[in-house]
Amino acid sequence: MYRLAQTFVFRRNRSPIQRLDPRVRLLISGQLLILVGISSQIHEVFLTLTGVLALAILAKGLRRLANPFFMAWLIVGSTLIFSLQFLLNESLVSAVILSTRFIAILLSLSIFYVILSPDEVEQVMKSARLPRDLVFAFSAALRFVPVLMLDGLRIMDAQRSRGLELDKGWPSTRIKNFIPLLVPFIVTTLVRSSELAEAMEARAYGATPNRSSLEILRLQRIDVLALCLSFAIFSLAVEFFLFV
Amino acid sequence: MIEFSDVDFDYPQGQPALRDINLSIKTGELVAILGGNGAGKSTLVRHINGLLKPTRGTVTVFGNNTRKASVAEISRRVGIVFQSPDHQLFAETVEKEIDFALRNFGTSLQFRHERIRDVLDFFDLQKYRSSSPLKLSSGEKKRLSIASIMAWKPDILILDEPTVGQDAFQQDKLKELVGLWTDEGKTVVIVSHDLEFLWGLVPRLIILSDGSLVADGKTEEILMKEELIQGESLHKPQLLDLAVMLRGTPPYHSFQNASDAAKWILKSRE
Repeated sequence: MYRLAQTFVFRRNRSPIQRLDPRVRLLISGQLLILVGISSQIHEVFLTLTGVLALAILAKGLRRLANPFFMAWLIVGSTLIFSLQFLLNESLVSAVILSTRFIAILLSLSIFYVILSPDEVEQVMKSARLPRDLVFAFSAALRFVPVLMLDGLRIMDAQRSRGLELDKGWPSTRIKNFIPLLVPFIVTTLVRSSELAEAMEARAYGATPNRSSLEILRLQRIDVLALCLSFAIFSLAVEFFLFV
Repeated sequence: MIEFSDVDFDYPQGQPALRDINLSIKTGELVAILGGNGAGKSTLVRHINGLLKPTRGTVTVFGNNTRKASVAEISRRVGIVFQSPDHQLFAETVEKEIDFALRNFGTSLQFRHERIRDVLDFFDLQKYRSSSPLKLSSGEKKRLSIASIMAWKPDILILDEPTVGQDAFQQDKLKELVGLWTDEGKTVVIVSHDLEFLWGLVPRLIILSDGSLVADGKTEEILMKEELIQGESLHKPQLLDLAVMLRGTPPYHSFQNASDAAKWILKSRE
């Protein structure tokens, strides 16, 4: 779990992608997600997957996505989907498409954490003039994903130390075994949220309607270039996927 | 018996957390593990019940290599009370919370009832027997988390920062409990920064720094090593400091209270 959590921790690097304006990065990541959504043929899914991997390489985040624990989850999930689809529809092609799409969706969602920090997401949302509370709630939720995963790990350690065995017994027992993990997890999450809200209020959150920003986003020439390039590729892909 | 032989442990990203740990804790011993933040104390004790497996070297508990046994198997003999009770409390009632491990270990119904009654009495939680653990105060939650471990009478008890959030009365109660546990021949390992609490209670201190063992010896001797104590961001007990200042020599035993210290200091003037 700890190793898995590492995939979702943003790390600043000097990659060409991370030098771009966060709005451009968000747009590229969104375009990839749309392409995964509309790809229905096997070659389309593979093309999108190649795009995701290319972005990961450009963002110097391939090693993080190749985290063995994350990969293990991907393989388990895609194998499950593959088997179910194959058993239900008896079609090898649709089973391959669905399981590959599952991988592409998860990878394109995970790449979001590799190329954008929660602070940058907050900046982008603010620049889009979204309501302040919504922006804060969204960025806080993103920021707390790895923290909550570590909480989950601690809870698991505490319950395993009291003799809880998650991987033993009948499926019904295994499901029941998750209750000792879920309850403390929900409680600690709620406590953490309420403490965060109090701490924010104690530091005058909400005291003024218009908060100023430490950094103001400005598009550079390289951002415009990247934007044009990504739009061109995205438009071509959409044309190819939907109309060819 | 707990034995660490040439133990190294690296975090998943490759950062070293423990380096070349060689350590032996005998059955019935009472020891404390100290060190600054990030020194590796909690990482070290998580090796004792197999939650963490060493990257190199071996950890054996009662002769069993922790690498070859499951956490559940080792936990029958090793109980860990974690720092935050919120990470373990989940049951509907306090009684069921204590019963959780007893049920997991398949103990008899009679033993379960006896142990639940005993620990509820000892930790003064009887009145909350049917209450939700989540409604208890933080101090009560801490007591409940200790009670839920003590319930199955593990041979080794590990307390991770047990004094955090506990008032003076509960700290005394904790000392009493540690005393009772060692009287029964059980091993107790305490992870703490609180030298005021440990002095006079724990005869042996183990100090970690940056994942390495830097000191292991009698409490009174280690407390006299000024550089070591200050280097690890620890505070010596105030009575000990005062006694050394006034009398010039260390007492080599602890004081129960200020009056004890005063008597010892005045003795030198007679």
